[in-house]
Amino acid sequence: MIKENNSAPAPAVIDAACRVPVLLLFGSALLWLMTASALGVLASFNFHVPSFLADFPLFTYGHRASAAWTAMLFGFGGNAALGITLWMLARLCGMELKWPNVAALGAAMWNIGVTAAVVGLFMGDGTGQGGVDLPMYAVRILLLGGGLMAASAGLTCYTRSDSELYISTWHLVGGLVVLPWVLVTMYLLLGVDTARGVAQYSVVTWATSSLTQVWLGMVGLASIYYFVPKILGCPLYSRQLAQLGFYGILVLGGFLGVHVGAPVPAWIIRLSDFAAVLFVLPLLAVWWNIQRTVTIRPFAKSCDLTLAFVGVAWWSYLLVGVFTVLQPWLSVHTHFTLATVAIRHLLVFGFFGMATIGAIHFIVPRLVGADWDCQKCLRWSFRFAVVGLLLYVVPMVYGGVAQGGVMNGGGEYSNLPPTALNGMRVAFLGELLMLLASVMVLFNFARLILTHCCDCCNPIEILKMARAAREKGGVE
Amino acid sequence: MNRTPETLAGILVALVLSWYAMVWTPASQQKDLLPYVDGETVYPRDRSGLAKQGAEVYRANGCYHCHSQQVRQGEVEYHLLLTRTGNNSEALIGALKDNDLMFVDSNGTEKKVDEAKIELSLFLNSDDLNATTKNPDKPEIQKARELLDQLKDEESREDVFLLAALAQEKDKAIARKFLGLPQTMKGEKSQRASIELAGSLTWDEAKSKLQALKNANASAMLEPRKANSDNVQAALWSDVDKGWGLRRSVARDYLFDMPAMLGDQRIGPDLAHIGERRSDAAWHYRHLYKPREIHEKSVMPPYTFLFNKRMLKEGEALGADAVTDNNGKSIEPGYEVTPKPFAHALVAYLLSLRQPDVVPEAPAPKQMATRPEKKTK
Repeated sequence: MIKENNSAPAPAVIDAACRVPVLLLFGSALLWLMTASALGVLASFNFHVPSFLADFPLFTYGHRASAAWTAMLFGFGGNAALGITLWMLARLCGMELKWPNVAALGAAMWNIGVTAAVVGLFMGDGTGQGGVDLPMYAVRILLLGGGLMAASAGLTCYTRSDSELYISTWHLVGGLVVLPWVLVTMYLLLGVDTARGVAQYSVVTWATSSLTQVWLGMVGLASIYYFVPKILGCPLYSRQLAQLGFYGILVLGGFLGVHVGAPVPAWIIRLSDFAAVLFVLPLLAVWWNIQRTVTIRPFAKSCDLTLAFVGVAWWSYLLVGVFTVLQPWLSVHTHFTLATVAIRHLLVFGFFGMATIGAIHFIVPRLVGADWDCQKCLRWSFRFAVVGLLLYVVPMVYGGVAQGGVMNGGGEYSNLPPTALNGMRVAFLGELLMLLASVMVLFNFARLILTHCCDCCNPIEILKMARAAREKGGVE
Repeated sequence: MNRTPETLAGILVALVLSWYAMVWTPASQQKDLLPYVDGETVYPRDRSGLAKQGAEVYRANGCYHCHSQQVRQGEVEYHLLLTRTGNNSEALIGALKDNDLMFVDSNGTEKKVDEAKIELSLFLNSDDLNATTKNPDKPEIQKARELLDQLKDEESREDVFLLAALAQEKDKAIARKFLGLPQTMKGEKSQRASIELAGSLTWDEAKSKLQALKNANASAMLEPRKANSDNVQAALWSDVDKGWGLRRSVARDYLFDMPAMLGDQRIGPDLAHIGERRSDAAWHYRHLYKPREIHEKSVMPPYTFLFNKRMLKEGEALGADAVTDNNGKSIEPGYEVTPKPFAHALVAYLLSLRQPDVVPEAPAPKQMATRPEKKTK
């Protein structure tokens, strides 16, 4: 039951309670981010040398591309989203995290699931279902792990001392509901009793869109709504606008992503187009809300690194949103091209990833009880990430538009046209920079944990931490 | 404010909406979709065992990352063709008039001939046909003879006969005699004549006009053609123009695809109709083994692990299933390259990818400027 209790535990106590699962999740998230970026680089290298790794059936281009996306979405996205959810819910509910050990177990399960998915993809077990082609046995483990963490988070929220529901709380709870919903639907309709024919396509489109636009969107926006007012020290402009954005994204998110001309019944395309146009409402709500908050106390005045990350995330979100709203007109030209890949990356890395790294930058020192050793390194990794993102997205979109032009032109199309190929080659530099940034953040994280954590933990936690560190590739 | 129940309920309702529309409804709709059966034609059929294994190879190697399997198509316009006039002269001419189809303003000579054809075939269906021998001076018959004078060539008269679509053998004989045609039809003329009543109709216009003609006991058909519009959808025609398919892909094409690998990238060309476009298995083996043998700048990785490679002995001839280049020589000089069972299956799958023009929901548009694929070396 919800107790009206004004003696909420101090933030430090709350942080201490969720330290193990959250650090485990963040560490794994950063490790997966690095893995995903590295796999992405290995995949893109094929466009320089098409015969790269061609003699190894395990490492076909398709396997590398699938593994990179799965590692990014479930490895990085999943771990980071759940880590933020656990920490932020505990803080917002003014409550020590319930069952932290269960959550830690869930985190471990989740990582086992992602590992199984990535290994399975290399072994050729992918389901062939576009954005969610991870093997179904991995989905089972992910469900179990996610369920354990959701139980811990849900219980924390249910027994909270602070009865107020904050804006970020809705978003996090929304994310917690979406995740199992999508996973169960995927498992049932793409695994157990596979939907027939093109129904698979609409299920996949729904699942991909729900995972990226809704789930990651919810957690990313929760971070933005949490950190911007907190660091600027002024309240969010409007609760009503946030509510509009929240419900708008929940309702419309799943509809998005069907392209014009898809071989599905026409009403599905119409509905998706309609939802895309309506998406302008939540987009405007998010934009205006943050815009007004920031006008009260400008972003620029603050040199806080978390805010810088969150700012980039906000801009990325707006760009992706504009692209989403224009889908009905653009998808004729951009679907099937590199531009969609770039926009997807802008959403997952540019928006969610940047918001998450900002959050990690804020949260981890509070969990460890010591500040980052090398703020300068992090500042550089921020610059690398932003430049890398620009260097990736701009040429890819440009190349994608050129590719669409050739694809929709009258001539022959047997290959990527040179403009697209060159765009992809420039984008490769961007990928390398993003990989560098992720390695730097991971390195800083590992250093912080290894140097500072052992003072403040009891022996059991040290053991757990050592295990976590080993999983993160540490040498302890 | 504690609004937990309301918030949770709101979240659930919000999520149910898109789930219901994008997951539940399509899944239950597709469950009821059946293959199209028309006489001997059954489409689609399940793949053969080997092709099914090939689909697994296609999936397991992630081919769907670079190739889509869906043909898009832009807007079509409909041309209304009259195929049978029926026997209700008054109703048909009234319907044609009311729908601005014919008998309104007969300026064009072409149209006059068509009107004559319609009137004549209506005449053949009327009771007056029997009177042609008994009572040749009837005014209706005089008028029919005048109309017949307009149709000089035999082909037009044959059209009249076909449009009338008489059922009784006795009537047919009288009609052919009246039209001055030999009793048996000459040559291989199609058993269906049609008169174009209107072109460039939208679906709604075409539908109402078609219904009006049906109500007048006549038969008509709609022929879809590429619309000359320059809106958003115009670009969608490129797939059909490139010859990637005969028509747009529809849900029915994927009934037996498990999984349906529609693909979301086109690093390479679309494969929905590749089995028809490239029906030569040897070409596929060559392409899989060494894509750059076909397209100089191909970015497709060579799938050499699907093949066995063996050094040839001095003077040894190539085996029958060896992969060759364009000139019939071994693709690897000095070696014999033969496909493994995986490659056999994959090629069988690729050859099974066909979307023929048989489904009624997407008839292949006529008058397409199909461009033959550029000759590659």
